[in-house]
Amino acid sequence: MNTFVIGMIISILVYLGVGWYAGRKIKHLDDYYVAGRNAPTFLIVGTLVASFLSTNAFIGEVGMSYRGHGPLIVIMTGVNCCGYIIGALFFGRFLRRAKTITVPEFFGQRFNSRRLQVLAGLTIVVGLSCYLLAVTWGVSLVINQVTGISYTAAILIAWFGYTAFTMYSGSQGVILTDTIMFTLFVSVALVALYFIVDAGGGWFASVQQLAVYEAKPGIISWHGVVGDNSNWQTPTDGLIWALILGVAWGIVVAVSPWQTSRYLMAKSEHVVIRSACGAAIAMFLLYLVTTFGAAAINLSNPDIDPAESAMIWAAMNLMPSVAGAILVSGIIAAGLSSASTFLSLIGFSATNDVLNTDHDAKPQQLSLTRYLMVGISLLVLISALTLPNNIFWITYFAGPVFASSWGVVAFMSVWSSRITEAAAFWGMLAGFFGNIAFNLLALVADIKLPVYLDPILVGGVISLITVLVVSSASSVSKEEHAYREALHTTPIEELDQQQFALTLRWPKAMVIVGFLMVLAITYFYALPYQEALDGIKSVQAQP
Amino acid sequence: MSGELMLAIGYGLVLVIIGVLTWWGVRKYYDQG
Repeated sequence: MNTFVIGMIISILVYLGVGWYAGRKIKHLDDYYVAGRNAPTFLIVGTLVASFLSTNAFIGEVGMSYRGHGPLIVIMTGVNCCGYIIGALFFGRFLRRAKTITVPEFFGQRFNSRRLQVLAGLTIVVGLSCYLLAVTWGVSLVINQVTGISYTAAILIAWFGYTAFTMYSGSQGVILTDTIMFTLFVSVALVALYFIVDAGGGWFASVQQLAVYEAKPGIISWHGVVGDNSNWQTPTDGLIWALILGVAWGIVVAVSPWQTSRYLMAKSEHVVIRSACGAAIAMFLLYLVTTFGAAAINLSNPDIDPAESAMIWAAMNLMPSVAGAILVSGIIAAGLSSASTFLSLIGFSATNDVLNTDHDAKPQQLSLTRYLMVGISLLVLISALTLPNNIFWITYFAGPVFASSWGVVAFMSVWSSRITEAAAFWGMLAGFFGNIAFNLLALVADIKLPVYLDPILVGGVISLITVLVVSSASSVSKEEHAYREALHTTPIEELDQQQFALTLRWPKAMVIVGFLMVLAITYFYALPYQEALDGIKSVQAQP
Repeated sequence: MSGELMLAIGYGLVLVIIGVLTWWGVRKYYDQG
């Protein structure tokens, strides 16, 4: 048994152990669904980042960066992280104020509408089951590559791990392990960067070699590799793609259930805002590390195939075996933490929103949630074992569908006094199917849609038009009006001046980190990059 | 100014701008002083 297998077994055992510990502490329905609504900032930051990253960050996006498109991912991250702040300030803190146990329940209460709650719950069950399938495949691929056990066995291990864990521990366990895993993969990503850069001859030598890297020209230029062998012909094409996708994923970050539902567990509205700031800072820093690290792997091996396994290759070949094993465990941890978040949300929504069980019958609701989790998880297992693996497409479809269907309705539910129940219902439905229709059109007809016709944005626009048209033809009820009014009344306990002063420290930290980042990226990247280019030019200019 | 320098400045400045937006939001909604 090699170090990687031992590392993987230990990380899965720790994961199950934390689940068992958290599960023992569950006494009430609120503990299981929203972790007792008592989570501090650090736990919410951990669960926000860990739920978002999944295996895609360490497999799909690392592959893109290794191929030479890291700078576009950095630009995209810069835009989509704004979603944390916009989401928390303009939607998340109101969601926390509503004190519902799921996000669909908030929509149901806001519009006094059972059908809207069912619809939002169904989008979670369908969309997140697909996402869970993609993550199951992603984690299994890593286990298969690292340990050499069969792909089928790897699927079964991953599935058993997250199903047993989530069923028993609920949100209590999910936020605990998410935070442990977040800490693990952030620290291990830094360690990995050290070894990757060291193998390339040190920091400045790596930057200068990549600046003039002939096999993938422009790999760390501001736009990455462009031209005939790339998806983008010119730097401007790449920039437009990164900005538009950044906006689209920013909406996902701001309103998607696997992000906003974390705010329902926060101790207060102040914790919502602080954790959004913390998550934005963490993502800004983490993506710099992973994208540059992935590009620098080229200096040790430019021929890794598939490119998506670049980080696994680095773990197994560039790092001491113990550090490599921890990196692999970190990647598996990222996948398992997302999987447990998705499965818990699916179970909660199936029980609370779709079936609408009686809240007063709490023990029964808890048992039913657990049974439904196992049932849906079994369907995901069967799909994972029988369907052809298509991680990229499913992730691409299942994540952003919430931006299209929920985006407009979520923000307008707080900020518009004109949106009606019918408009919210039809707007959500139209956004969901608008997104799916455009995705299917592109897939079935094999059409490459221009970036401004991205299904996320088209779905969002369809949803907005539907909301505006239906709102103009219907009227807001007294109950809806009263609920929205109440939503805008800040609870007295949130006006504590000590809490206010503490919260203000977080945006100040963002400003300081932002300025430090400008200095650091200039000194460690822009200047040595320019120096390398100038060196080439002066050599070429010599007779 | 090179594109790389603009990327360095732009990336950090986004964090600065959303930090200022948050600071404004927190003061607007929670300041009782």
